[in-house]
Amino acid sequence: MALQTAAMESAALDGSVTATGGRRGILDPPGGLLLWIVVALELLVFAMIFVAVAHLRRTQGAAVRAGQAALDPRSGVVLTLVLVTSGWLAAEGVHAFRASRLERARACYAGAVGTGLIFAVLKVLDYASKIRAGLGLGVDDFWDYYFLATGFHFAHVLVGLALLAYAGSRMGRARFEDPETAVAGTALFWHMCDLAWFFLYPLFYARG
Amino acid sequence: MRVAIYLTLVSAAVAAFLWGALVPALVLGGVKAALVGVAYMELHDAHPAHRAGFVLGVALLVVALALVA
Repeated sequence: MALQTAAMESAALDGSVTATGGRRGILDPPGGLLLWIVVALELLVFAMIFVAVAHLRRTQGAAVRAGQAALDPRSGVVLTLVLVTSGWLAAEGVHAFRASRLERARACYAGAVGTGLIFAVLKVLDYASKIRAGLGLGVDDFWDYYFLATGFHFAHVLVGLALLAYAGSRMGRARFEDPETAVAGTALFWHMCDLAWFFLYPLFYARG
Repeated sequence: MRVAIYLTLVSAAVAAFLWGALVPALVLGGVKAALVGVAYMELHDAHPAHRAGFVLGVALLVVALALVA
């Protein structure tokens, strides 16, 4: 019964996409208008943080170069690859859910959560190693920006993981009041974390 | 299609790492962001104004960061 309900929800979700023949109205973005407003505002805040970090690179080159000496670009690219993999799995999960392939959808969401958790653990280990080395808030502007910018991103990762885990755990087992927001919306929030990291990585790790 | 996008994202991430310089990494970051927005955030299915606005916003951000940094 639960699976049947979920399949009906899945079909309803699919229907919401194709109801306009694949062409959505300006107030009907994929994932829902409310989620897109949240994502747009969050990306605006991230963009302002990126500009602040870019300004730091220009005005305090020596401090930035000294700080970057303690950052390993290899760990940065590993974090990128882990997050990209998680985002891909979330996207696959959404499409599987819409196709009523609930087992695959759950597996994809579980994979997305698992790889997201790997990112979170790696970031915690990164923060711990920096703090053990005496690098943290108050050391200099570079480390203030590093911990505040990546910490803000990390907070979004934790929220995104919670949303993905909640949605994934309910697929096929409980009814969603709004399948579009519950499935595509949570994936949308998770992809926002990808987007932010795509700019945090070069701003902190790129040396040239 | 989604797998192709994923492989492109992985390639762009590795290329940014190997290049090591800021501006190429920012441009590749912008390419990755546009791909994720259009393909994974499903802007390919959205109103054209949303799609164009997103890609334009990403391009402006890349230019602004390259100029400021």
